Amino acid sequence: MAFKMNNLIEQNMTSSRAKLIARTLKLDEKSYNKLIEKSELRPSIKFWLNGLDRVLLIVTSAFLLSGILCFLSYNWMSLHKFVKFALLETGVIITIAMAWYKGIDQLPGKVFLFSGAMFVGFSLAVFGQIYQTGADPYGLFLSWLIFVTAWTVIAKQSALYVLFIVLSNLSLVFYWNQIISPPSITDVWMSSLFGPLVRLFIDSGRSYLPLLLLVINLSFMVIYEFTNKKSIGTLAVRVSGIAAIIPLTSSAVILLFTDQWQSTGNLLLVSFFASTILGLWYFRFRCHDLFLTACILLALIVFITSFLLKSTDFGKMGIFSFFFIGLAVLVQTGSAAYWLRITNSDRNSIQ
Amino acid sequence: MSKKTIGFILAELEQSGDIQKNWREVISTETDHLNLTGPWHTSLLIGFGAWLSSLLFIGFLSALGMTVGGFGIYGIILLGTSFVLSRLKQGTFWDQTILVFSLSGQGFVLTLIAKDSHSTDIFKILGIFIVVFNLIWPFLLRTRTQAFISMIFFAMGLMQILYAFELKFLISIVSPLLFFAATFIISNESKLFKNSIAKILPSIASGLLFSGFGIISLSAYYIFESFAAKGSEIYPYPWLTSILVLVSIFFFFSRSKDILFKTQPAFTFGALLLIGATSLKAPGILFAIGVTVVGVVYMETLWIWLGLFFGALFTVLFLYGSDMSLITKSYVLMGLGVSLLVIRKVFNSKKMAIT
Repeated sequence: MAFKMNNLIEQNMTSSRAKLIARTLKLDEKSYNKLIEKSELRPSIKFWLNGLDRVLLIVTSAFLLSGILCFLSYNWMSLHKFVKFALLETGVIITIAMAWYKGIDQLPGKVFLFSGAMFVGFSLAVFGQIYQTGADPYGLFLSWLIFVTAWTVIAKQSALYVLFIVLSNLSLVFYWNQIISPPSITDVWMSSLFGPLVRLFIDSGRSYLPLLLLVINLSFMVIYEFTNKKSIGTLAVRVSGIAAIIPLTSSAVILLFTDQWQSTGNLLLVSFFASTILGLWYFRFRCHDLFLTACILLALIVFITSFLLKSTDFGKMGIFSFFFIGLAVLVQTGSAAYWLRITNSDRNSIQ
Repeated sequence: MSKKTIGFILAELEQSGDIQKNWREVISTETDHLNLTGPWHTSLLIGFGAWLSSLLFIGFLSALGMTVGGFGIYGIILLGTSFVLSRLKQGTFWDQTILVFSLSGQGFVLTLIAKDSHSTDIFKILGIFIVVFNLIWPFLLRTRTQAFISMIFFAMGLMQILYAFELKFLISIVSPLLFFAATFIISNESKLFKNSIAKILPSIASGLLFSGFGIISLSAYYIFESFAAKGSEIYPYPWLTSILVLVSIFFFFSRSKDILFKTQPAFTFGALLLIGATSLKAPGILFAIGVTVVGVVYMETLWIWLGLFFGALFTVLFLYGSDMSLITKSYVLMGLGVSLLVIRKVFNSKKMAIT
């Protein structure tokens, strides 16, 4: 308790903390106003004017950019294909030149470099639209990935790492879907009915794909462990973690209910448990990340609850199944909360 | 965020005699609630577990209710359990469990009313029940999430009453009233810190504002072509909402001790009037600006982000739904951008003089 108390009073005052303290200490209006005054939380004239200036800047940029986009959309069909390419490639050149001019370590430079990477994607998409060669869509993501790889390595920027991870995962999923294991008629029907996201989910249910996704995302995490963590940032690791957890868990659950146990099924189940145990150990003792710990725990809860649902015979137990499963979820959530609490307290004691 | 730590500020206040000397002990005993219980994703996981297990448990009760007893009895049992739990237990898990019990209890009671009522005015009766119940219940339960959700239900019930009693012309004044009520609560919050209901007041105010955004979004009917002709039936007088919101903003701005209003009243009034006049048909824009302004004045971060998000959304909807060709829209947008660029230039020159 003493540790938590010290931890709290060493934190900087914020408006929400001030209100929380005022309620706990039952302060009157006068004392609360003094608390706010001493904390210097009340907005100053400088704060107001700087805020208004920033809002004006954002709104102005948004209006001008939207105006240009509307103008281009209106004339897009009548533009010659070379003009379209010229516009997008000028975008690439200008953003990269600005990134170089501003410096890739500075915020404006980072924004320009990321915009440049996005322009590359737009150019490739327009290329695919104009020259419809019949090439598979995975080619778009793979080419985009190849073009931005060098920038990602050089710039060491969180947003570019995230783009890199997303493109790697999408390239693999589309390559698998189009070359290795083309969709069945049911898959095509399902995706035309419910959209492409359902297709991704169906694909992730195929046993080898989640394992491959796990391998590539674990590789990113290994790179993260041995490189400059600060430059990569936690967002990239989290995206990578989610990209590994969701397909693995969904495939494990699908396997559980469809009973399609082949040699890959056992491997998938072993990988699921091995990676969750490894993840819980890693994010508690090596890299304190409560978000990914919570995701792994949620994956475990989903899997165990699905297993219980499958094992419970609803016909025999009837309405008592609700009671039994509800109790199981309660115990699992309680245990997850306990694990998160000790992970959080470990993290705080290190900080 | 302040540059000073909580401990430093409280020690200063203790020296000047503004807070009690035993503040360390008081805070220490309440640390579990004061110290952030964990990031949002941790709360989300715990909340998810609480919802799922409670819903399964309620599924068990509903199945039992169909055979033994009836919905009314189980509804009262669930509401009673949530009330008792709210007095005995605290923390994210219990808060969510209480919420599920309370919502299910309400659901059971509403089912009972709907099932047993043979009146043709069933929607009026349900609307009145929802409004009255959700005005009283949060003050009995005193949990923040329930308070927030109750206000949303209250606003929904109110809208149902207006439609059921065919008082659609009053829809235009609901959002300004909710804005006025929310701002009134938050501006008087500091007078009630000693009271036990103090902890739910920000949630009540936020719930009212959130509902206000929901109702005012009806005024953006023009983005759907099929609704455009029936606009006056969906949201009768959008201009009235704009005017009332503008009056509310002026009222609270003039009452607050805010430095922007005190030092630059003409500029503040002028800017708000200009925005109000140009977006008279899209009251959501002014409503969002009002929420942001009140959020800054009373330091409610959630309100600031809510206002900025909805402000951007309503502006996009307004421009998207305006009856113009793409090329005219392009000229209008670029014209607005250039005008704002000029305004920013003038603003920056004045800003230097003020600061």
